[in-house]
Amino acid sequence: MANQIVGPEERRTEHQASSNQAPILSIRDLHVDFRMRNGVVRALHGVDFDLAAGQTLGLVGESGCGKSVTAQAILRVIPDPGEIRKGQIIFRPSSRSSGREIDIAALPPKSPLLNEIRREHISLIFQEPMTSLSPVHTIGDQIGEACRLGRSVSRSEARDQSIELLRRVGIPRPEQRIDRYTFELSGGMRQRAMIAMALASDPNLLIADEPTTAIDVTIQAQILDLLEELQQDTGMSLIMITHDLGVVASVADRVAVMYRGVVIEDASCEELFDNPKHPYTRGLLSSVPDLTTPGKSDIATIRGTVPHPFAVIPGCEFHPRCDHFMEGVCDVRFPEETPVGPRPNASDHVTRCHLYTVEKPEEESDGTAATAAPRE
Amino acid sequence: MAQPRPQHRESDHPAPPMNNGDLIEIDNLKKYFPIQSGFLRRHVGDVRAVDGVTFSIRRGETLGLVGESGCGKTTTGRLIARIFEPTDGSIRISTNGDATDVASLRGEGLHDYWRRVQVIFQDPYSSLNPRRTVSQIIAEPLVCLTEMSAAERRDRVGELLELVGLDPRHAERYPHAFSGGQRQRIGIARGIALNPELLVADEAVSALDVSIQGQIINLMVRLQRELELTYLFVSHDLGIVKHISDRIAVMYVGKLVELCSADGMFRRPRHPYTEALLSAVPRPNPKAKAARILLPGDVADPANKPPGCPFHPRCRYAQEVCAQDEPEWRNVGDEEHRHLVACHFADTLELKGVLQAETTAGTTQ
Repeated sequence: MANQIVGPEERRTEHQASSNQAPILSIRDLHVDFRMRNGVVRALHGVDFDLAAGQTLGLVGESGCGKSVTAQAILRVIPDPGEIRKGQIIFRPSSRSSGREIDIAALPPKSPLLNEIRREHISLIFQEPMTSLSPVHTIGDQIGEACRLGRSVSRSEARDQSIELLRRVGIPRPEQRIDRYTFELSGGMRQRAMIAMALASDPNLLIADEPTTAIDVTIQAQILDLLEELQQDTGMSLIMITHDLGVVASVADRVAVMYRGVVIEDASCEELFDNPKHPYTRGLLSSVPDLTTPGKSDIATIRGTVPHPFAVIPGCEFHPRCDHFMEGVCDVRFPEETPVGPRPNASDHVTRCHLYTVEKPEEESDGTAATAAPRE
Repeated sequence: MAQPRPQHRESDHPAPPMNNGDLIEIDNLKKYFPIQSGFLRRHVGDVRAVDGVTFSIRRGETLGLVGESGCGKTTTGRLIARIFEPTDGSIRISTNGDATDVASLRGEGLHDYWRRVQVIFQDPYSSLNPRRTVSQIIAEPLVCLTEMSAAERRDRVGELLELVGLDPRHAERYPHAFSGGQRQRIGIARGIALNPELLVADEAVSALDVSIQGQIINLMVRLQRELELTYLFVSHDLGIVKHISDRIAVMYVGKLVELCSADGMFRRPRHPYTEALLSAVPRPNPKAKAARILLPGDVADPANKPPGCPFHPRCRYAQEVCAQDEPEWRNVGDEEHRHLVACHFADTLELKGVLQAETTAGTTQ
């Protein structure tokens, strides 16, 4: 089922040349609510993005922005009492344009198709490998199980394949390590074992939820390199969920920035870092301490804090913290998705911000927004 | 602590006077945690969390202490705050020009020391007692270590809350009513309640979101100016450390490998581990990813250290001598700009920093 064996270069040019090739995943207007006893948390309200086959999408945002819930929604594993209220999650397992389209959001919770997707097409790796790997089974048992389910092979074949997978993720002496338990491995090795397990089914899409957050930088560099290498070998698509803009910059082709359940900006990686438009994105970027400037300096911040999840904010979700707040506009209307990229009306860089939607003299509104760096 | 503590050194030979300008001097500080095994809990080895570190903290500076998990940076911070008692070595604090060794202090003497040295902890969720109000939490050091009356304490708490940017009217709330950033402010208020000279900030912003991290760092910088604080800033996040520190010390498996001014280190590191560490930090710049140095393998086990230089199995410049002799902790800079490093080849290696040079590297990528 793997839509593989296309070199990364080839893949990229192919994608650029024929943007008519359907994305592997399209999320449209996704709403997820958590109905708690004392109120409703609107975890996602209107998330849209596309993931092109073979590409890496970085999903960034601060805690509580809904990036993990988005991942859970794609696999339909949102914990109780969360539920998808509306929206579509269109998954296209085959890269051919004639291939089938599945709306994951519309599948019944126990449908065999949903299980097939989880088993064979989409894998998920988590932040803390210790909590998602079983402490009472050897890693060989756990990877082998994934092999047997995902590839329908026998026990002994599964063992061989597990060893091969462990070797591929860079675990030394896999023949011995396969019979180890998770607590016998270091943090980096555990994360590798977890990646091996996720790869067991040759997924078309791998979702990595903060895969390197609990890991030291030198090991993080190893894991990021590994993911990139695996992606080039297998041609799988990757969603990298992280709060670390540095990680995103080093792996992503495309970046979607989330704030309080909404994708507020979506652009190619270079475009986003070179030319951020939304005041939140700018604030986020400038609050990352820069390693390369000499001297001590104040760190730019975004004032205030992310409001409580129960809070209902009219208009733009970000307006109470925004330096460009326009009364009567930002606190009234929810901003539409607006193209702001180098090419007008193209959807390759979109943002949800009234600075770019309000009818002002076009150039000026753009100019003020671009020069007014987020203050303080 | 099953190990017998060597006799206090002061009695053997009089302590040398402290360097002018130093607040704390640490000499050959060690902390071993015993590994016990079996029914009889026999002592079978030691985790050498801190294995002989020597450095000093200057009055009024921020010293960043960085390293990966398990390198002993937190233990070092806790030794200096005297939460742990050192296995060996001395910690001397300057008192009106005289040096007091605090490594083995107990009782009232330790209380005196704690009035001068306080800690801010990493996790604002677990370091604040959920059953006590904010005012009780902040007043705790005042209750334990001063003789203030209840009314004086109440005034002081209000003053402190204002100082850290919280509303004094919220003093009677419980920690759960505050966000992560606000809780860390409460932790800071508690840390400065006694007007200490040194604050040990142990991963003080690591649990916070980026946009909040900046607020807390800026608050700490402001408080340092206003209250003339000295910081030991322990963190794994090099970006944050770079921003707040005057000097930076890098630790690897219980040892210091390098210590110098922040800019000096980022411009030209002298230890291969520092070089790799700097290069591995993911930078928010898609053009900068080329220069990452990949270290093979994992951090060494502090219970079972490799002989010689503890970094040699992962070092790409390692030679035979590195596996045999432990490198000496020495100064490769001048007297004014000391650049301490523990590497046999610190003089000859041309290592790459990340300061500015990368803007040119970035465009060629």
